[in-house]
Amino acid sequence: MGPLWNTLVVLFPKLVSGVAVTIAIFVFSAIISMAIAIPVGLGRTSRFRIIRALCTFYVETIRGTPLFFQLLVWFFGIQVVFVTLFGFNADQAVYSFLTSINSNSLFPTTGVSGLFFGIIGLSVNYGAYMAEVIRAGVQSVEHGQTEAALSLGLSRFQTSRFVILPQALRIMIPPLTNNLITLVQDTAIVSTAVVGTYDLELVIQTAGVATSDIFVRLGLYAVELGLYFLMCYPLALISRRAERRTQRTMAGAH
Amino acid sequence: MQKIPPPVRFVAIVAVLVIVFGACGSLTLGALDKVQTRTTGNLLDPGVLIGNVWHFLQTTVQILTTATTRNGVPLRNYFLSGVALTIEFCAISMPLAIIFGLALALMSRARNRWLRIPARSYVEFFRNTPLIVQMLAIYWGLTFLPHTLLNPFTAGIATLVLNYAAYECENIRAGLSAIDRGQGEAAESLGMGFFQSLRFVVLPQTISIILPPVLNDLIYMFKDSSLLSIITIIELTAQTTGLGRRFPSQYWEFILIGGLIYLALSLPLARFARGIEERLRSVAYVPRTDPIVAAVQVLIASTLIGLLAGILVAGFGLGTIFGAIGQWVAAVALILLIMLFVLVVLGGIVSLPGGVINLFNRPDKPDQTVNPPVAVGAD
Repeated sequence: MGPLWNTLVVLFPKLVSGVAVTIAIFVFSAIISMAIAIPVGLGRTSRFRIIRALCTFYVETIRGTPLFFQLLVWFFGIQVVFVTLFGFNADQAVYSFLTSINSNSLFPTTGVSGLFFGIIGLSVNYGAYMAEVIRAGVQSVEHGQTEAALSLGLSRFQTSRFVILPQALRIMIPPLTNNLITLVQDTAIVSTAVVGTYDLELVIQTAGVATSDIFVRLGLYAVELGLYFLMCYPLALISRRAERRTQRTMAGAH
Repeated sequence: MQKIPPPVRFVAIVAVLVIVFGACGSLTLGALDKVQTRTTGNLLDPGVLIGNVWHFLQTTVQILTTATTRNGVPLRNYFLSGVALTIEFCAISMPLAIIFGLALALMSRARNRWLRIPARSYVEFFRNTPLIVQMLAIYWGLTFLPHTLLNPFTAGIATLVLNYAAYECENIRAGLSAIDRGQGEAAESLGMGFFQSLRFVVLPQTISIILPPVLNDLIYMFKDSSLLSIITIIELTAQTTGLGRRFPSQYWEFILIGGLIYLALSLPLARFARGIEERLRSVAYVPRTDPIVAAVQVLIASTLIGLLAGILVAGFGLGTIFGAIGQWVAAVALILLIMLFVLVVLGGIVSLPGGVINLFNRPDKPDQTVNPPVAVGAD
């Protein structure tokens, strides 16, 4: 316990900033992916063929390829295009935000490079998955309700806003929360495998590989897995509770 | 509204991707040219773009057919070996994950809490921690093990199996709890033992419930296997990006081919899963063979296909055949080792505080969680 404890004490500030970075990536990509998913998910149920085809194309290509592959394309391909074409430097904005979380220069300047495209890639990926959830939720509401609302004189927007979405949302909550759990887990891929930001995973990884004491290393990994578990398990509990509640209301409706 | 047939749709996807990627490649090359030659051409000129996309298509076809490296190795061999490794890992891991998941599901339905609590905590733990961290923890954390037991291959298989066993456990548990408990009791009253009633009464009925989510998980595993490149396994993602790094001017061509290979494998698989789901849901479906026997045959065939893919990549020969089998045995041994360790440690941690964590103490109540089927128009 002694050497592991000493390592953890030394590592503690980095660990805190690592958790902060993980949560920051998670929050940003959750918001952006929802912003992508809602129009795409509704677009897949659209009347217009072009919109439907475009949304299906997006969802199927994104869901058919691995996240890691896509992130590599965003980071080594699209970023290069942007930088060479426009001199695009979005990282500075992300960097200044992250340093405002923890300003004692724990973040190495080089490590934050590319985080912008990492977050965008993660959001685009999860946008497709969440769009599927939203489509399934919207389609699970009976079509007669749309017709009833339209015949009552509501516009199309009002129909989806006041009639369809409130009912669909209840069905969508458990799968959306499950997607959020995997989103928390996949922030590790963005920062560690591709971008090199010092999030929770990379902090432990560098410290673990640096020590020669195998039990310190195992202990560090155990601490890291425990921290990820603490971040994900509440979401899992929320999802399970929502599912139970949905089942109860569905059963009561009969 | 007529449906577009799937092959036509796939060709349309390919065409759109070629245009998008060709434009990207053209922009990259043009921008690099611009920086190097300090000229001021308009990169977004439509004529230039169309010409570049056409050139892009030509290079892509060339890469797929005739292009070689400087040593004379055809470029398509890199993609083939990448795909073979990806298939190898999925085909070997999925049967093991299903078997271990079945064991975990039976444990988590047991009345004995010394079986139930470790299994439940294992499943919760592995479902709520990232796969990549588990992979790195196994690969970098267990380096005191001998190299025959822990190498990139066994570590990759072990991670995939340990992670997906938790998910398969949940699928199988859902299937088992959908079957009425009375059936197991009836089988026992007929004189069948626990395993006999499982084999002949309960499991054959659950297959139709379990199969669709398991196929779905297979697609997820197919995509998650791209992470194996982090522990030095050169599968499709690693091959693609590696080629892109070696020949930067054809970066987008390689990415397009890699992405299309992923799509060409996962989209039909998804369609197949949906078809199976619809077929199993239909009332007229009656299995013609014993489903358990069929399932065991499929699992063994999948493992053999995986081993064969690995053998073909390494070069066909007696040594590689025995090597592959030995690696498989080592992987299973590593999985058993880690699983037992995690079960004991997590079970100990969760059950030591006693009343603190009540979440795990609830027995399964299938009668309350599953709604009885309601006939249409009953209300």
